[in-house]
Amino acid sequence: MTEQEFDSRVRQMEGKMYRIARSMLRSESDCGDALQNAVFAAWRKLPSLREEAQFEAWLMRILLNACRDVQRGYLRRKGELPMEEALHAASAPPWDVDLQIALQTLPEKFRLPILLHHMNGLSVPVIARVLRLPQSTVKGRIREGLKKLRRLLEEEEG
Amino acid sequence: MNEFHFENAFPLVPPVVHGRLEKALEEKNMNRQYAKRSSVVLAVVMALLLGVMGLAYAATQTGILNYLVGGEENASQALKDSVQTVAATASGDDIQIDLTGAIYDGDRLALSFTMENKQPENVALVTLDTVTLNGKWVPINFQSFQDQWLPDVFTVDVAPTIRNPLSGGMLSAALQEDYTGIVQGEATFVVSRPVKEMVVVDPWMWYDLETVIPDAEWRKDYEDRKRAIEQSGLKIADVFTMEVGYWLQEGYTPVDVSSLFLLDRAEYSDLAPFYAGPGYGERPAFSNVTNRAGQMQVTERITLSFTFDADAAKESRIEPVLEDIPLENGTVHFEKVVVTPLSTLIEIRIYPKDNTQEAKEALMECYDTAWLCNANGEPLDYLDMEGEGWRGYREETDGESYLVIETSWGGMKTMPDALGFSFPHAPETDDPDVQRMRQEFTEKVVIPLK
Repeated sequence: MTEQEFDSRVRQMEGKMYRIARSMLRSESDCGDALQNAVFAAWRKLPSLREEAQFEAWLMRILLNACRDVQRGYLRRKGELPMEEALHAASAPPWDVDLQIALQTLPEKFRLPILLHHMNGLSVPVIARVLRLPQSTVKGRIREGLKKLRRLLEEEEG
Repeated sequence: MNEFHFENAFPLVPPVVHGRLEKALEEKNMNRQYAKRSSVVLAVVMALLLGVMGLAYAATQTGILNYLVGGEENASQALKDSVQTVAATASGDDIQIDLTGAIYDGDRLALSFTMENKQPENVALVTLDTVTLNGKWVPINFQSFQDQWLPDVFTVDVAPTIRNPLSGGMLSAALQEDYTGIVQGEATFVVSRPVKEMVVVDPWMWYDLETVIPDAEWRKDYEDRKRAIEQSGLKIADVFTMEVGYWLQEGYTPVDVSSLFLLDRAEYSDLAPFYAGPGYGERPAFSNVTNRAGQMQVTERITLSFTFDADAAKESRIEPVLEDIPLENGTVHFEKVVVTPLSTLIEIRIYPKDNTQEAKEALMECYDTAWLCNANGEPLDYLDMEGEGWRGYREETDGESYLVIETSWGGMKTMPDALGFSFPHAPETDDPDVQRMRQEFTEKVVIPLK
């Protein structure tokens, strides 16, 4: 893959990368950190990518690791906004803040498969590779996660 | 399908994230080792520079230690002793560039510069072109002034906000060659200026920032940039003329608040496939200097010549030789261990017990990072410079492969008698019990330094 192709494919995935980062992190600045670090890491590791067809899943995996690095920083920093407050702070209307908060309330093990599948359009086998889980587990988590999400939104409305 | 509209659950990619991604793509060939530190340091330098605006600047405020660690007071004695005076100055098209300091540690060369636009009403863009040592081109791993606008009214968050014609920065190069004696160097910068009048076409200039960004600290960055743009004399499109095509037709060069050049959609389609589509919710924009055809023109190339003493690095450099360590599922080989006042570098290779796919995957599952500590397992007293780690398989041409774990950190404030080197061996997972296990069960190696 040439540098130009790499840049082009990363740009094509910008929205997908941002949404995944935003689902895991608390501020736009943190999302910027994660995306930047993921791009740096992906470029360095590109020679280790064996199949270019797997680029999207591979980059998502790197992004998840970059997001987790940022999350680890949360443990070291004090005085952070609570998650819900941070979400309200970062996303002004017209975005669906209730759905976003419900998603953030879901445990990550449900949230990530749902977002990767329903928002980023990755197939179950690809998600299984990204998250290093059996396909059956991915399917189960998507199914179970959607149920939990529904309940959370109903509670919100109720 | 499902009943949820996940596409509405998150805001569109905001300019700050889009800008970071574009910046990362531009800078991906550089080592970001000092990026975070430099941002903080440059912010400090900016504050100092604002205080002396209009006056001659003091060399100590813009020296290499300021860019590396935030000032002499934060540097180790060994790092201070490593600084070489390499004064050099050159100018052209009303841009003056001064080389203010250098540190070479046998692996890495760090240089600091100041840049001043003597014609601040005419905004300029200064870009590092090449650095050569003894006549040969060397790759730059990190530079803090990538695409430096002078005066810089656009920057926020990622880099410091230097709102005046005088700016500065540093670069560092990880050198592949061993140098001895006096080394002759040249750094060449390119100056570009806009061909047409620039206009800032961005709704961020008109947002009610109190509503959009309730976080006070974050909002302050945007307010600062907004104020700087308003005071810069640049033309600002009003909220009813956000159409990029209109400004292009009127003969302007439209940019957004991050200084990305905005394109008309039709113009953008002509450039495809060289540019990917705009990000989700973003306008077509680009920032690659070489492709700003018709919008920026190169007005000058400025070359600074300098020398430094490569032998000076030898005394403070520690390179212990270490033996291989057998593991249950492989062998650890220390490829590189270097401790200098500027850097702490370790590269290990873990060879699988055999060359089967299963053995390789077992290693990948088990070892994903490495930690440096003192001999008692306590954190090292690093200077406040950003480090980075890297891991991945390398395939040799004969089919042999191994896992590489590389860590690169800044220098240390105080040098311990020995380094501890440990790496967790447990699968990566979200399971908290396994996470805890990864923290607790590690291979540990003690590396004597004295």
